[in-house]
Amino acid sequence: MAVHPDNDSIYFSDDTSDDGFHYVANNENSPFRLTRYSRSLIDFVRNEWQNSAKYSSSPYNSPSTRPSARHGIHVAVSLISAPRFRRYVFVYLILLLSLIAGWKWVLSPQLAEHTSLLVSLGPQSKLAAGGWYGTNALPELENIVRIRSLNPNLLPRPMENPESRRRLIFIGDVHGCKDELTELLEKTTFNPSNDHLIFTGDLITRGPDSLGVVDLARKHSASCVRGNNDDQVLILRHSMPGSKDLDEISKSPDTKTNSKTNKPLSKTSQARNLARQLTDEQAEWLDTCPVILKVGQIPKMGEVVVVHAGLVPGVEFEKQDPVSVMNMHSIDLETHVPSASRKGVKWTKLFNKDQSLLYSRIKNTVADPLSKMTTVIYGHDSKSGLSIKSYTKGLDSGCVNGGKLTALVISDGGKQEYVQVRCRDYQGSNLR
Amino acid sequence: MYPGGLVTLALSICSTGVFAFPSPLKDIAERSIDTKDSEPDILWEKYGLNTSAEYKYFHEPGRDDILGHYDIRFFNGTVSDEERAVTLTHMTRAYLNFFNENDLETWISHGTLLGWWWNGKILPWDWDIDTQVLDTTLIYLADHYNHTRVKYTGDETTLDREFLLDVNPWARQRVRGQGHNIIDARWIDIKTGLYIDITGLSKLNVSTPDVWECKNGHKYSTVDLYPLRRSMFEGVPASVPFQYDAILIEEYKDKALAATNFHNHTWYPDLKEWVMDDEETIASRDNQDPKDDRQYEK
Repeated sequence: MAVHPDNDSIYFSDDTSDDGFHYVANNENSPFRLTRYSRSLIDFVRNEWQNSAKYSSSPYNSPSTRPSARHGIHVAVSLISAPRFRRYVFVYLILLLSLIAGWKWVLSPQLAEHTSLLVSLGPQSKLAAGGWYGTNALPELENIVRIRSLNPNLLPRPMENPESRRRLIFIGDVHGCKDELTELLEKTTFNPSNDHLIFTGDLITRGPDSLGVVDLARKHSASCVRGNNDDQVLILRHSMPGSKDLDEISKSPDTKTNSKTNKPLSKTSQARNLARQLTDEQAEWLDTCPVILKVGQIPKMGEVVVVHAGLVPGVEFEKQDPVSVMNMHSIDLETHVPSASRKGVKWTKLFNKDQSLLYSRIKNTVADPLSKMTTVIYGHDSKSGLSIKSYTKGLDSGCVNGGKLTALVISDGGKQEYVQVRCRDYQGSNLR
Repeated sequence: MYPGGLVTLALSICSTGVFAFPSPLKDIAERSIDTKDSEPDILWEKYGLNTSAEYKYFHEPGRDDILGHYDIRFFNGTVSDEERAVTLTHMTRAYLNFFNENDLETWISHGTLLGWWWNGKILPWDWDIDTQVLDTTLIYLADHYNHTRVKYTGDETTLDREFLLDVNPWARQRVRGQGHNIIDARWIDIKTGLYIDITGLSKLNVSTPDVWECKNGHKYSTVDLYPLRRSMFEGVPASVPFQYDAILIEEYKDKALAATNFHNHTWYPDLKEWVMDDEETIASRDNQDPKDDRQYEK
């Protein structure tokens, strides 16, 4: 161990194992250093062999040469009072606390969640629930297309092709934000002859130009799925001619007084106005948007489907309840019953776990296991924002609330790219 | 499905919700925002209903699971399970057709809605059919269609039936009152006395203009009910609430949409039917721990 006088700072060897109580000063001119080293420098110099464990086997370190008890206390006190020691104690304490916190709030809940998801997908859960959700035979709902398949000619090619490229552009919930949609299309260098647009639902309501968005989507022969807000407007529109519509309800004396403060009703009346404003062509186009759009095979993603809100794992597309598919946020782990409530486990967690279990089951027995996977592209969940997981891609990044509008661009060879534009906040005013 | 539990639940909700309301004397036709004690009692003046002496309008021959489902005026002995099932089916079709033809709004509710969700049919163990209407529709029925007798011919010529629409006079009192008249109207099969329960929904609380309540304490928000979805029930067009799944989960919990064994019936997904378990299965189930004996399908 040596002091280097040629250096402009007091420098100790970087082998820190030997000098637990030495102060390292990097700046010779620091006043702090000056007070510290007011004693002769030689007092601070130690020979490495005296302290280091590396030399503990040497004959000089025999019991006879050990310091007395008094000297031991002295060393202990100087150890504790040494600034570096205190700093280490502080650092280790922080480390320990963060480890405990990490276990308690991150790792342990994750392990618990992992276990609960596994249990949820296991046979015991099915037994306890007396069966899982999704075996019922739901009757047809009028004017709702449940499933549609995308024209396979629109799919990106399996390999990259420099001469002609083909892309699918999936776009999250637009909610009438036509300017942002136009901007996003420019940013993705959208080319109608090569690219096909697919919307994750809720094209309309809440934003400034719902009808304009529908016209733009129709102009580009886009595909879409039915969102919960689209659904409300369309069902309202179908219930209007002849039958008693919601006007009568909102005109009843009880609601008049509270019409200004009552948000849900004014949202309904907005939906009602929109239902009236839609032209027949626009309404018919929206009505053709299925609840589930089967996109087809895409490299690295397997079978791709688009829905507005979500899917229940393990239930075939035909058996998925359309209203749940348009509304779900969470899923009950015992029964697999989905719910629009945000309380409980997100459906995406169970879906991804189910898919990864499937993958690990088949990866060694099937030639192209990824092609057997299902990937869901969805919207609806603006609160969670962009949410990209292995088998679920959530694209609603809350454009109409001043968030972003997101596009997932899939090009030849299955290359994925996310493109976003910023949005104005259309909910600040009384639009809600 | 769980009649006992539901009633208790409903009662407990009612006791907290309804009695907190300032005045029980409210008439839907003349409802105002702020009811004062000095307001004339329209129920009494116009309809001769003395709310302090509320009497039970609909009567049944008994209170148990079987006798409680007949109207006493048309009761002439219990019918076989088979006849009951046939009667309920045709009664429901006649009811839905009548409302469709007269452009009246109604939708199916409670256990009937659960049956619709499973396969568009009445649950085979369900003894009563439940439908709902808005209070405005209810009063309209009372004023224009009360005591209408509707002749009905089913698919088979032997099935000539006649049904009676009977609106409870206490339907004009929208609060629970003394709880004797929570059913607002009945659609009664004159031959057997079996009936459909019709309940009206009202906005009872000024501070929650979005909440619709029946006299039995069930509450629904406007956005869960409207706009009604059109579908089919027992082969005829029927309406269901907009968020039918949320309403079903709220009332019957998740298991009612998942479990495939109920009341000695097993759901067969391929048949799309609830099938009565054979006696052996039932007997073995009764002998075992109820948790271990259930038969599940894939």
